[in-house]
Amino acid sequence: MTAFDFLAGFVFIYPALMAVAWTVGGLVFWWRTEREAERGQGPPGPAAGADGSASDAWPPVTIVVPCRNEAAAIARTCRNLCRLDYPDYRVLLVDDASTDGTAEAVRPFLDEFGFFHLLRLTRHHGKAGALNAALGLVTTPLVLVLDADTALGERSLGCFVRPFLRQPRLGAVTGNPLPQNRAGLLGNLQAAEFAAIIGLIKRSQRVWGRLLTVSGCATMYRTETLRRVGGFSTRTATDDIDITWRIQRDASEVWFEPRATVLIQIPLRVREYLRQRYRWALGGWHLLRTHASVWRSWRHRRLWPTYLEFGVSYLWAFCFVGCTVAWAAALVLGRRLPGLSPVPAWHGGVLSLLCVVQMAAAVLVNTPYDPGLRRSFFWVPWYPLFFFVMGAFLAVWSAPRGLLGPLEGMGRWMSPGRAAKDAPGRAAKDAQRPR
Amino acid sequence: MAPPRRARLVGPVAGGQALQHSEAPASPGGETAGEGESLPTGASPDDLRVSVVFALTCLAWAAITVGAGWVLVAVGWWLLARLWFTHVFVPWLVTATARLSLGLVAWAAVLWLAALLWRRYNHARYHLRERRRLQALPRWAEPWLWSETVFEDPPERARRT
Repeated sequence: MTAFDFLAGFVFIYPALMAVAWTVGGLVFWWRTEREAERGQGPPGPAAGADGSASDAWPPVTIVVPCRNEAAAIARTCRNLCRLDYPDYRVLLVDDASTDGTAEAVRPFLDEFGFFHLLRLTRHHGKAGALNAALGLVTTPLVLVLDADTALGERSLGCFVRPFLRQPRLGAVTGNPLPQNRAGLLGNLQAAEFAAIIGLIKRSQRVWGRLLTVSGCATMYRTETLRRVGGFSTRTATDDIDITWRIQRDASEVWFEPRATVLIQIPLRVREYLRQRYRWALGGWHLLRTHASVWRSWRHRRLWPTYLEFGVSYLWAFCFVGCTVAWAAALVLGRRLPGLSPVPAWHGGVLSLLCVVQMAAAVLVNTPYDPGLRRSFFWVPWYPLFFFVMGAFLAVWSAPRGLLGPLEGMGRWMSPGRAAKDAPGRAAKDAQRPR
Repeated sequence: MAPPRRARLVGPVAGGQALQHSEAPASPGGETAGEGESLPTGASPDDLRVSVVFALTCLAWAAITVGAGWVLVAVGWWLLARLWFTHVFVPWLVTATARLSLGLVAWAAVLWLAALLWRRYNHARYHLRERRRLQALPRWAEPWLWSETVFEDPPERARRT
């Protein structure tokens, strides 16, 4: 067996084993947690009102919306936040030194609704810096961080809060993001990915122990925990990954609540998609770099499998890219390398079959929250091309900067372009249906 | 967007202005030279035809785009099916495929059992013997009496308005 054979075997077997692990974990979570909650067998929540949602038992919540040059989309977000079914909440919009009139777009809502507030920053801080500035003002026990292009379901806020009323160790609850603008190949693939990767893997990670990351677009935190861990880090490309790890290192739990649905905007242009994924890949390297110290403490042993799995997935990316480059070089030189070729054959066929099974499981468990997901499933055949191939190349491409580059100022990045359109998409209509 | 619909005033204007629909084609400016002033009223047959053609063109392009998407989806499934039936579900690889399938099913069974046992262990170890008490979250928070505030730095301080 040559080294190339060994690498080729690893490139094949690792995603196969993990696809099974994610599928099984996701189904266990769905079977033991979601179905029991549906049947009313879960732990009791606070006393519900006549409509089953709002009651006096709910704690007050601050919704913090950091925005930087969001004039095109912020009014739509504000309109969404006006009509939430929750008894006591306030909205704090943080204008991160915008230059496009974001503050002016927000002011009519400040005049009309007493629970809308605006914090203006005179200098650009980035998302993490803006959130830290807002954290200094928050007086409620819970704080929901919401992206400026994200819309909450009418009853989602209660779904975010409910786990905090039952679990004493809870530091954060992450929501279930559903892409709203799922048009064309890229939109539908991302919709399927959010169900298969974000949804299924988060469910699975909850079963095995610790989450890799919360969804930065909509996560609720216990304010006290956030302050204790020092707020959000400005020294990483993905503040959501970093805060997840710091909360879990603080011996607090992070929960995934699939019923807390939020509608997000996804990039539909390839360039924006690649830019976003590059930042995510970079954030992964920052995680491996800044949280390697979990291995030095027995207290953090439950984070070890998550760290290991994430590290091995990046190693897999190197092996995949290395094998592909070696295969291409051999082809150019007129030679033939034994082992795995990136052109799908038996190995590729088996992996694609597993990918379809994983997607089908993801659609099964997430369809109750997103009925339109079934339509996105048809686009799945093209998914491995985007997820496996592009993800692997971006992980390798971002490695030098992620491992050796400076961390200072990494928290400042540009959001993908926003659609100013106000009409609700298919996912919006589906998510608003009563369940 | 369809151009504004206009009707032309034909002939000399005396007393009450009589509006007539002209069959003559409109100039780009919406008026016919030497035929007086134009006023917005109903649509001419030409304008209506332009609107219908425009709507049908949009409809056709939408159908083509959606159709192209579904063709792409169909090609993807066809390629996938072709891959499976030429490389996976073939007689000469049945042993390897069956062996791998059995291995993956066994792996799934082990994981399923491990997940259930792990849940029970955690439930007994942490939930039933939880040392941390569930502290009730405050039901009230100090209201903010301001609507807008500025965060200036340096020095970092907030000035409320």
